[in-house]
Amino acid sequence: MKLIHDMKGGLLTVRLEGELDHHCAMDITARICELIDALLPPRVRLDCSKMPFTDSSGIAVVMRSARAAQGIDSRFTVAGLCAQPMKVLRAAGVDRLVEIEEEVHI
Amino acid sequence: MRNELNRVVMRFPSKSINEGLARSGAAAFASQLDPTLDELGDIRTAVSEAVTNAIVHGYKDEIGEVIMTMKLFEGDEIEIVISDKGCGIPDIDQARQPLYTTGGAERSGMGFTIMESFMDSLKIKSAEGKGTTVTMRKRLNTRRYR
Repeated sequence: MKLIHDMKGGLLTVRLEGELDHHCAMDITARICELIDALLPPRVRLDCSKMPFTDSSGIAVVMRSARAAQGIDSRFTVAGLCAQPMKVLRAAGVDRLVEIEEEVHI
Repeated sequence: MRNELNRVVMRFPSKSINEGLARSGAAAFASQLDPTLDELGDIRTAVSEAVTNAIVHGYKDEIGEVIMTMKLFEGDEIEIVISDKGCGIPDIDQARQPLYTTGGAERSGMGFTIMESFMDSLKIKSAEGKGTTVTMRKRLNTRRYR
C-alpha cells in the first residue's frame, strides 16, 4: 500500500492507495500519526478514493488516526470511500463516530 | 449435504504478506460462479479476517501453516474453511464479541463480527494448544438466474 500526503492551507490530505489489511496497517497508522504530530494541521482528510479494499484493520487505522487528530483539536474526515471499505466501516459503526465525506474535494 | 462440485486447497505459511494471496485465491475460486462485485467483496473480506486471525492469534509467536479449503456445492453455495494448528481460542463466545481482541493496537476486535455479517454462516471450532478451524458459507445469487 502507498501513502501520499499533501499539506495545503491548513489541510493535511493523506491518500491511501492499494489494499489495506493487517500486513500494512501498523505501518500506515504510525505514518499518519507521525504526520499529524509533525505538521499539526487544523484539518486532516483521509482520502480513500484509491483504496478498493480493507478488512477490519482499516477500522483500527481510521479510529487511531481520528484519535491522533482529536488530540491536537484537528477536524478529521474520511473521504472518497469505495463500496467495500464503506461497508466494513459501517458494519463497525465507524460512520457514526467519524465524519465521512462522500467525495474528495480538491 | 449438497453435492460437492469443486474443491481447491491452499496451504501457506502464516506470514502477513500471504493475507492478500489468500484473498486473491478465494476470489479466483468464487469467480466460477460469476458473483457480483459486492459478493466478491464480502468473500474477500471474510477470508482476510479469518486468515489474519490465524496469523495474529493462532500463530502469535511462531510461523505455522494455514490451510484454506474452498468448496463449491450444488445450489451455488461456496464454503471456505480456514484452519491452523496454533494456540487455539480459550473462550469462543468471548472472542466472538464485537470489539474483543487480544491483539495489538492495530486490531479492532471486529473480525468475527465482520465474518458473521458478510457471510451466510460462520462456525468456529477450537481447542487450546491444538488450533482453530473457521468454516464460512455463502450462497451466491449467481448472474445466470438474474
